[in-house]
Amino acid sequence: MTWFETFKGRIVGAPTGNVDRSRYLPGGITQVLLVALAGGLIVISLSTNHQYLATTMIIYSLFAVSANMLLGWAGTPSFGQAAFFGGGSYMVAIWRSHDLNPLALIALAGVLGATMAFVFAIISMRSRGITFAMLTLVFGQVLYQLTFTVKDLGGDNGLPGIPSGSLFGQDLSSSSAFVLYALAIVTICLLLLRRVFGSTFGLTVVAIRDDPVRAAALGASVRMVRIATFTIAGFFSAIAGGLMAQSSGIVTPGNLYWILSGNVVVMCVIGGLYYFWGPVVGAVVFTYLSVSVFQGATYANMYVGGVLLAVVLVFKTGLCGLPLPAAKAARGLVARRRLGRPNADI
Amino acid sequence: MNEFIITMVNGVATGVPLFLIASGLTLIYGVMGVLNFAHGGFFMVGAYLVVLILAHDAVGIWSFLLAVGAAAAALAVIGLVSERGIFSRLYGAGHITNLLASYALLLIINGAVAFSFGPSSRTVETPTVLSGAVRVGDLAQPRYNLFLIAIGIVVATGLWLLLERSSMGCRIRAVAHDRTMARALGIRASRVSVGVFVLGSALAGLAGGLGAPVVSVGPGLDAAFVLQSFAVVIIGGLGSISGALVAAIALGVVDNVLVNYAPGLAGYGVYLTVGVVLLVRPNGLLGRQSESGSEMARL
Repeated sequence: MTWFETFKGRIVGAPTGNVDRSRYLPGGITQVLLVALAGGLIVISLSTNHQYLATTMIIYSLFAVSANMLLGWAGTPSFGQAAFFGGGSYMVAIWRSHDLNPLALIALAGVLGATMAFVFAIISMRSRGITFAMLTLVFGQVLYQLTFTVKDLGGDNGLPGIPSGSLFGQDLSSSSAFVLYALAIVTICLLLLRRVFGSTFGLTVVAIRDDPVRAAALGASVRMVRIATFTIAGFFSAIAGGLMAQSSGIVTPGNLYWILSGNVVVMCVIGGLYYFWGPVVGAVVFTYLSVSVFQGATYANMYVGGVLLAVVLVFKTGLCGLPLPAAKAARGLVARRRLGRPNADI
Repeated sequence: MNEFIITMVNGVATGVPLFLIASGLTLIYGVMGVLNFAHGGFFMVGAYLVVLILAHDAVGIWSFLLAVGAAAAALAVIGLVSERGIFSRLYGAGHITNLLASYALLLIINGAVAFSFGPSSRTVETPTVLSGAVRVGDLAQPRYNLFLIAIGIVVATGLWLLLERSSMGCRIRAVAHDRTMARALGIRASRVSVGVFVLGSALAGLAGGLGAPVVSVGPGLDAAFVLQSFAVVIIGGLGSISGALVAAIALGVVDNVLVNYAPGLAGYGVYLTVGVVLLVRPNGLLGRQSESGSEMARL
């Protein structure tokens, strides 16, 4: 049985899954606003040391959700999401001396990412599965290599000195101002994505993942939906990349390297591929682990790999799915006691 | 002309370690459906082991071969453990789950190596007999290149004999072709899987050991090599060993030709080749027109 089959009945967004899921996870607009508000308050109250960490978590949340559009919603494994993220970062970096409005820069980055993703989706149309995963990897690596060949992109040193800019007369260069700015943008983007997820289009994406042949028979245009999914994912990944550039002030080829694509896949899997909010949870946990717990130590990979392996082998639904087996186990316990013998349901 | 021949021979020699890793990768994929990310990690561990065993001394060819053999054997054990512990539990869970599991394994290996050996790069001396160059007329070639090519020929022939001319090979091909049917005929598919995984891992260790004198052994070696060997497997066609051979040599040659004749494009060799091949033949050069592709592509 594949993952997809295992969770067919309770997939988020699938009509049958909606009722069941709402018991375990926050969904809908109101909750999002509440969560954002709560997050914002917590973030502000944190000391200055943690504001950068919080910003990173917020930005990676958007990146992970957009990557999960391909990975979880559409079931097309992409190992090249860093291409769009990095593309957005470099876009912001290249325009750094023009003194543009930061929002305009972010929009520019998004448009670039969407264009790149659109072109790539058309090129890669014919391949599926593993081959497709490798094509995405290759695509990302070509861009990575470009930064070393094209002089203006700065090679290994990257492009330093990116201003955060100012918005509505408010200087964003302080981390306490920037974290609010990032939070606002990411919240808006996530709300938009949530709308997309709940729309007919979102349902079609999930339907195509579960059974492309049947979805096509029901009238879904597999090709168009795939191109559209890619374009939207590219758009929001690039926005995350642009925010990252503004936040850290420097762009390096690391923003394009396939290891970052791998990391974002890890975030999605840890959080739970089949939940809209799964990648957000994954991004927060992953960032916390790699920045705070291991402080960027090279051997941190060992533990990250261990966590990923545990998720793949045991907790297949990721962190967001944990309440599910827990509830099941609890119900099982109750049932067992009532019936007075073990494994009554087998 | 001379320069061209030298470039070609260099290219083939560059291709040999790639072929060794990729043949293991493609064999494992063919039988188990696992595209093993961790193979780059296995390669790195093999290289580190040889560095550790030889410890910077210039040694004779026999002790070098012994060290390489030890690396291959150690990797066979690691392969055995990871197959039993991870991949045998994920049988039938789909390509992507397996890809993620192997990525997790790669991260673990990468972290463990970084933890034990630190961030600095190490080198190992070429064995004394194999250093220096061989001259034929005015053509000069490093001896080590010729040694690598010889090893490549030996391994390729060995693999061919194993797969096409032995009963073990017959079983492997049967499982790769149709696992259910092979089991119905009495082949113990899980044993074949273990055997193939161990063999593939040992080949990666061998490649790492042989590659140690010509690469800089440090963290990041795994990431660099896993990409190249994936490229080889994809270009050659998933599951095809002869495809891997052709693709590895082609990649080595393309790389060297680009470095010599079009330095502006150096570094793009892998990507250009993969891109062009996949656009023309989505299943690779010698890949089967298989389950995954064609039917969906028409939609």
